[in-house]
Amino acid sequence: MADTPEEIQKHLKLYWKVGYVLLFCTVLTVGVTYIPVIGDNIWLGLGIAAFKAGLVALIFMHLNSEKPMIYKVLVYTVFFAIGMMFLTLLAMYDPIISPFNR
Amino acid sequence: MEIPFTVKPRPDTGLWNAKVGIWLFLASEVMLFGGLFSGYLFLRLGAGGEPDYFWPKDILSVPFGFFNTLILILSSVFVVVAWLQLKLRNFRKFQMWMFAVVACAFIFLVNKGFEYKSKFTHYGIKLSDNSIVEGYKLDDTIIYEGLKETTIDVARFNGQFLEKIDGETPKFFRVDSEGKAQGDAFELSVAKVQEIALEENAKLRSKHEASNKEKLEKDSEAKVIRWLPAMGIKQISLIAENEFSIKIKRKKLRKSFADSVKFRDQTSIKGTISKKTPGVYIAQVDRIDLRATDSENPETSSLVWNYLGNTSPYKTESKKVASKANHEGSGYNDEYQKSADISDAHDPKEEAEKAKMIFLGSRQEVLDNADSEEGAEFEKLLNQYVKKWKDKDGEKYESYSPILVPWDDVKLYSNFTPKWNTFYAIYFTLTGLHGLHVLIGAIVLLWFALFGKKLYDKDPEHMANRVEVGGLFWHFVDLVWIFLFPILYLM
Repeated sequence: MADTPEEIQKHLKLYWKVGYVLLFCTVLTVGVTYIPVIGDNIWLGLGIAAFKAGLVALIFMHLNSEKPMIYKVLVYTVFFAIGMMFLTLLAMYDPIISPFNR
Repeated sequence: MEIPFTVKPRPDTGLWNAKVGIWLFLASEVMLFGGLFSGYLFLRLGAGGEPDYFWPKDILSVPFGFFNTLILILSSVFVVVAWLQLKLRNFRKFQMWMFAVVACAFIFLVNKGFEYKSKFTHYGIKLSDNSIVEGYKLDDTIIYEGLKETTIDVARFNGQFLEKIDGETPKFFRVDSEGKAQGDAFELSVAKVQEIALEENAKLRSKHEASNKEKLEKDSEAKVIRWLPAMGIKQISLIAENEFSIKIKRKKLRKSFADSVKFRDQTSIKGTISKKTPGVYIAQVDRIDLRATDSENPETSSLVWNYLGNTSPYKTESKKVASKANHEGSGYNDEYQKSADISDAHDPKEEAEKAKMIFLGSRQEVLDNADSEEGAEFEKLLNQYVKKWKDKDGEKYESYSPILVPWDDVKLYSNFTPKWNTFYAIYFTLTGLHGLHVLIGAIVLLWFALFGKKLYDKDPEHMANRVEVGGLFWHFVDLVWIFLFPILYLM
C-alpha cells in the first residue's frame, strides 16, 4: 500500500471511480431484467454481480496486490466453496430423486 | 503486554497478524454463506414446478432491494475513504466518513425491517385442492361451544385454555371410570392439578407397595418392582359444571377437530365449532394461484371460486357490535363507519365475480397467445394479481375481495414466514444472517469512530490497521449482498 500523501490521493480518486462503476452496474443489473430477452438474463445478472464482486474484492479489499499467503488461503476457500455447490448439483441429478428424471 | 506485529509485518508471512486473522475469518465466512447459497441452489432447482412447488418470482419489492444495494455500495466506498483519511492522519474526517457508514447501515436495516414487516402481515391459505389464496387481514379466530368433558395431561398442563374461556369460568368435577362426576366441584388451576396428581399418586403408590408386600409374603424370593414416578397418574378426566365456550386464535391450538379441540399443553376438550367461526377469513385477497391445484379445470372447479366473496359471520357480527357500541358511546361516527373495513365499501359477492372475471379473463388471453409465447408466460398464466380492475365507468381503483375458507378445506395457512414456503425459509435465513452481519459490522465500526482516538494518538498506524480489518469485513458484507440482490429480488 502506498504511503505518500500524493499516492493516497490517487487511491482516493480510484475508490470513488470504482464506487461509481459499482452504482452504475447495479442500475444495469436491474435494467437488464426489463429488457425482454438478451440471451439469458439470469446469467447476465449473475455475470454483472460477479464483475461487481470482483471489483470490490480486487480494489476495495486490495486483493490486486496482496501477499502470497492470503492468496493461498483464498485458493483453498474458493476450491471448497465451488466444490460444495457442485455437490448440491450432483444431488440434483441423483437418479432416484431427481426432478428432471420424472 | 505489547502484542507483536500489529503494525510491522511478520517476517515469515510478510503480513501484520490481524490481517492474516481477518482473511482466515473471511474464508470461513465464505464457506458459511457458500453453504447457504448452495442450499438456495438446491431448493430452487428442486422446485420442479408442476405439479409440485412453484418457485415464487417477483414477490419482493425490487425498488426496496435496489435502494438497499446502492446504500451498501456507498457505505463500502465510505469505509475505504475513512481508512484513507486515517492514513492521511486526519482523524476528524475519518470519524465523519465512519459515521456516514454507520448511517448507511442504519438505513439499510430500517429498510429491511419494513420489508420483513410487509411479509409478516401478508397471509396465505393453501386449500385442500392445493389452490392458494393470498391477502391481508387474516382472522383465524375459532370458537368452540358446548365444551364440558376435559382431559388434562398432568405433566404438561399450563392452564392456557382457562384464559381463553369466553364468559364465566365454570367449576370442574373429577370423573370416575364410568364418566360420572364425583366429589365436590373445584376451581381448576395448575396448582389444583398438581394437588390432585399428588393425591392420586400417593394412592397408587400405597396400592403398589401393598401388592409388593403381599407378593413377598407369599414368596420371599419373588421379584418385585419398586415404585417409580413413571407409574404415576398421567391424565386426569374432568367434567365442567356447565357447558362453556372458548374463543382463541386457531394457530394457538395444537389440533382442532370438528368434535374436539386440543391445546398445546395436550389438554383435550370435547365440543363443537361455533357457526360464527366456520373457517379462516382473509378480508382482502390480492392474489390467487391455481398452478398446483388438483382440479382439472381450475376455471370452474377450484375450491377458491366456492368461497371467494364469502364473509365471516363472526366478523359481521363483531362489526355490528362495534358500530353499535360506537353509536351509543360517542355518537354516530360516519368516518369510523367508512374506515371500519375497506371490503365493506363494495359488495363482496360482486367483487368476487369481478376478481374471477379478471383472473380468468387474463388467463384466457395468455392461453390464446400461448402458441407464440411459451414458457415465461406460464408464470403469468395462473398467477394473476386481482387487486386492480375497472368498474362499469371504466374507472380503475384498487379493491379486494374477501374469502372465507371452511376449516375442513384449509390445508395450511400462515403469514409469509418460513412456515409458508421454502422460498421464505431460505429468504429469511440468508437475509437474516446477512442483516446480522450488517448490524455487528456497524457496531464495530461505530466503536472505532467513537473510541478510537486514544489508540490513534498512541499509534496512528495501528489504528489504521484496525480500521482496515473492520473495513475488510464490511466489504465482505457488501459482497454477499451483491449476490443476494439479483438471486432473491430479480430472478
